[in-house]
Amino acid sequence: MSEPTRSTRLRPSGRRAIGAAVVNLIVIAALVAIPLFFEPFRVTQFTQILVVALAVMGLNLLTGFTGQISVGHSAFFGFGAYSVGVIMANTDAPMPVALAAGTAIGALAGAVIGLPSLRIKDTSLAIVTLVFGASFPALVNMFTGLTGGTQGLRVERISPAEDFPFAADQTRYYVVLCAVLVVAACVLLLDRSRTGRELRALGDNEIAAVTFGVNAPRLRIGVFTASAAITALAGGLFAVTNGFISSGTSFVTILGSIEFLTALVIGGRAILIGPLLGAAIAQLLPAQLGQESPELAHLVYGVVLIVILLLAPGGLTGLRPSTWFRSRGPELPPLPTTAPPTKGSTA
Amino acid sequence: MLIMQLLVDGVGKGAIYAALALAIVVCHRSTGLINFAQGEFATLSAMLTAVLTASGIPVWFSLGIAVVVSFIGGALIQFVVVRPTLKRPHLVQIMITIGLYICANAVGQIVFGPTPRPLDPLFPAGGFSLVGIRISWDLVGVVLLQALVITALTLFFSRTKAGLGFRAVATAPAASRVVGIRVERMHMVGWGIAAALGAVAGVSLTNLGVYVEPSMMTPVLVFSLAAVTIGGFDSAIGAIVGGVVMGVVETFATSLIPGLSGDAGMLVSLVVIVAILLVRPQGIFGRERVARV
Amino acid sequence: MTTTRDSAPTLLEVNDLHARYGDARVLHGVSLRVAEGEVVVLLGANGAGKSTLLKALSGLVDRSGGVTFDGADISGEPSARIVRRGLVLVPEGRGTFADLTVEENLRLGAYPTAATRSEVAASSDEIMTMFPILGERSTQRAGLLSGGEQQMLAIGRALMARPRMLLLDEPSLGLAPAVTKSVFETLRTLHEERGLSLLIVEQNAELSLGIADYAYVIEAGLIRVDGPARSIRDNEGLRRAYLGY
Ligand SMILES: Nc1ncnc2c1ncn2[C@@H]1O[C@H](COP(=O)(O)OP(=O)(O)O)[C@@H](O)[C@H]1O
Ligand SMILES: [Mg+2]
Repeated sequence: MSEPTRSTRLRPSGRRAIGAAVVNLIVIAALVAIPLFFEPFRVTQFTQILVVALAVMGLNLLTGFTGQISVGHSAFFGFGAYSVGVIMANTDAPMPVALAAGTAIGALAGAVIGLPSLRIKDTSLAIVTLVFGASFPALVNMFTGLTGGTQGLRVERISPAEDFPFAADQTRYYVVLCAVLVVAACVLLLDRSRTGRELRALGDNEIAAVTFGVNAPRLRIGVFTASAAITALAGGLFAVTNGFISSGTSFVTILGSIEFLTALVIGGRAILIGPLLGAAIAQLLPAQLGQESPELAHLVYGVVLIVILLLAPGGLTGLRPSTWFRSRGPELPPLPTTAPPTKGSTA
Repeated sequence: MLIMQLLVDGVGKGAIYAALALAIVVCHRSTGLINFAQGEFATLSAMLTAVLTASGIPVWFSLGIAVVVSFIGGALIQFVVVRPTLKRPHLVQIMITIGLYICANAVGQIVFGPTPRPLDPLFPAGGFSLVGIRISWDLVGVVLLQALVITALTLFFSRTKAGLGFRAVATAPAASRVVGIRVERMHMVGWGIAAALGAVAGVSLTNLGVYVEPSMMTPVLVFSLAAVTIGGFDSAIGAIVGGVVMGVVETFATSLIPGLSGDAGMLVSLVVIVAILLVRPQGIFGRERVARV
Repeated sequence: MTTTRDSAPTLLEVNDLHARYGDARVLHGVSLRVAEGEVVVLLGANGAGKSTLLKALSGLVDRSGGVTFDGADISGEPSARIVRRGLVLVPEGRGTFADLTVEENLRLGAYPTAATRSEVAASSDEIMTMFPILGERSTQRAGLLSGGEQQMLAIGRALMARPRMLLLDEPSLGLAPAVTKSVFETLRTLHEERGLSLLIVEQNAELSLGIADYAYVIEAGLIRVDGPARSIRDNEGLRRAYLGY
C-alpha cells in the first residue's frame, strides 16, 4: 500500500486540477448560500464549524507541510480568543483591531514555541505542544482578574448595523467565511510557491532539503508562526461570534487540540475541503449523537478517527474512487534489513 | 523543615509519575511509539479496580485482577490497532494513540460515569512523624509498591529469557528476526506490560487522595511525559529519576511560587521539558540514536 | 574435495524460488541444492539477489516456491521454526546486538530452541572456548568488538542454535585480509569437525571457491551458472564474465 507522500499531494495536474477547481467552486457557492436557507440556530452551528475549519487550516499548515504534529493548537486558539476578549473588555479598540492584535499575539506565541521546534521534532514536539496545550487553561486561571478564569469572560459579539442586509447570525457567518476563504487562498498560493516546495522538501527529508539550500530554521519558525496565527485568528473569531469564553471552553483545552487534529486527519489534506469536511464531522457527529449521550459521541469520534487512520490514511479527501477498486496485493511482512554496521554506534 | 516536608510529598507524587513514565518507556521500547493514551488506559484500570472492590472483592485482589486484565487489554489493542500501522509514518502512529486516548476516555465516561468515587485504600490509615515531617503510611506504601514493581520489572528484563528477547527486539529488531524471535509478539507483550504498569500507577494514585474519575490521569500523563522527556524515551532509570524530579519540582513550584497552584504546575513541566530538550534532546539517560529511517 | 555430491543425501533443496520487497521482485525462480556436509558458494555481483536469497531461505522476506530442508517443506514457515530445524543465517554486516553483551548475544542464538538454561550455558561455554576472544569479552557490549570479532560472534551465535547448516552472507565483508583468512579457517574447521553444511555468499570468489565443493552464480535473480567449485575456478571465461577477476 503506498502512502500518499507530502510531495505528491495537492498538485493535481491537467484534468484532475480542473476537477478540483470545479469541486472547490461548488463548495464555495454552497458555503455562500448556506445562511440564506437555514434557521439562525443552524447558521450559528455552521459558523462554529467554519471557526473550527479555520483552526484546522492553521494546523494543516504545520502538519500538512512539514509533517510535524502539534497537540497544542488549542492554546494558540486560546491566545487568540482571550487576546480579543481581554482587549475588547478593557479598551475602546474596535473589533478589527482586536482581531488583528489577537492574531499577532497568537503569532508571537507560535514563534516562541516554534523556536524550540528547530531542534525539537516529532514525538518530542508532540509532547512539548501537548504540555503547552494542557497548561493553557491553568494559565487562564492564573490571571482570573483579567480572564474571568473558570467563570468566563463575556465578549461583545459581531453585530450588524441597522441597515445591513443580513441578520446578526448571517453576518457573523459571512465574516468567518471571509476569513476562511482568504486564508485558504493564501495557503493555496503558498503551496504553489517556491517556499511551499521548500517546506514540503523539509518535511520529507530535512538533510536533503538543507543540502539544496533550503533555510530550515527560517522556514520552521515561519511556518509555526503562520500556523499559530491562523489558529489564533480562529480563536478570536470564536470569541466575537460566540460571545463567551472560559477556561473550560473545550476549544481552549487539550480536547480542542485533539478535535483539531482529528478533524485534520478525518478531512485529509485538501486545503479548503479537508478542514471543512473534518470540522463538519467533528462538530456535527457529537452534536447528532450527543442528544443521546455526549460520551457515546466521543467514542464514535475516536473509533472513526482510528478507522480512518487504518483504512484511509489520506483522510476522506484523500479517498479517490479510482483507488477503491485497484487490487492492492497482499501486505508483506516487514522488511528485515540487517542492522547497520555497529561501528561507533554504542559510544 | 518545610523544605523536607515538600521533598517527602514530592517524592510520593513522583513515584506515581515514575510509574506511568515507566509504562510509557516500556511501550516506547517495544514499538518505538509514545502512547498518549497510556494515562487513560491507567484510568480504565483504576476504574476496573474500583468496580471490583465495590462488588466486595478485597482491594489488593481487585488490583491483581486489574493488572492481568490490563495486560491482556494492552496486548490486544496493540494487536488490533497499532500493529497494522507500524510501517506507516510516525504521524499516523501518534494519531492512532490519540484516537485511543479519545476512545479510552469515552469508554470510562460511559461505563464508569463522571462521578468521582473513592477507592478502598491499599495501605493502613495514619502515619508517623519523623523529626517534624509528617509521613503517611499511604505515601510509604505507594513508594514501596513502585519500588517493588520496578525491581520485579528489572529482574524480568535482566534475568529471564523473555526479558532478554524483549531487550533484543527493542534495540535491534532486524537481528531479532534473524535469530528467530517473534518480534510482533514482543510488541504485544510490551504493550501488555505497559498497561499492567499503568494499572499499578492508577491505583496507587488513589492512595494519595485522588478519586477515581475519567480525567484523573490527565495531569499525571503530562508530568510523566515530562519525566520520560527528561530521562530519555528508552531509559527505565531515566523514567524513575525523571518522575521523582518532576514530582519534587511540581510540589516545590506550586507551594513556593505565589500564584502558581493546582494545574498551573504543568507550566513548570513545560519549562523543564523545553530546557532539557534544547540542551540534551535524547534526555539525560538516553543514548544518542541513529535517526530512524 | 568431494565428488560425492550426487550420491550424498540432499539437505537443502530450492525449487523455483521467487522473492520480493513490496512490489519489487528480486528473485525470479532460483533453484539450487546443497547436499549433506557440503560447502556451496553462491557468487554474484552487487544487487544480484544473494542476500535476498538467504533471507528468503530463512523466512525473512516474502517468498514463494519450493524450499525443502532435511526433507521438510519450509517454504511457508516462520523464521523461528526454520532456526529450530537447524538452518541458521549469519547475516550480512554481522547483525549482532550491539547494545547487548557478548554473552547475551550468544544466548539469543538459542532463543527459539527448546534448550534449557543449563544447556544454553553449556553451549555458550563451548563457543567461548572455540573463540577465546569471545570468552575474554563476554561481559562487554558487542558493539565494542572489532569487525572480525563481531563476525566470530555472529557465527558463534548461529552455532548456539545447534544448526545443521549455516547460511553465511558475505562473512568477509569489510574485514582485513588476515582476518578474512581466519574467518574462512574457522568455517573450514566447522565444516570438517562438525560436518556442518555451509551455503556461503561471497564477493571474494577466490577465497570462497577455495573451500567450496560446488558453486552457483546468480545474476539478476536467476542462477546463470553452476558447477563444481574447482571447474568454475579453472574456467577463465566464466571467471571473466561473472566473477571479474
Ligand atoms: N529491503 C529492501 N527493500 C527493497 N529492495 C531491496 C531491499 N533489499 C534489497 N533490495 C533490492 O533487491 C535487489 C537484490 O538485493 P540483495 O539481495 O541485497 O543483493 P546482493 O546481496 O546480491 O548484493 C537489489 O536490487 C536491491 O536494491
Ligand atoms: Mg548482499
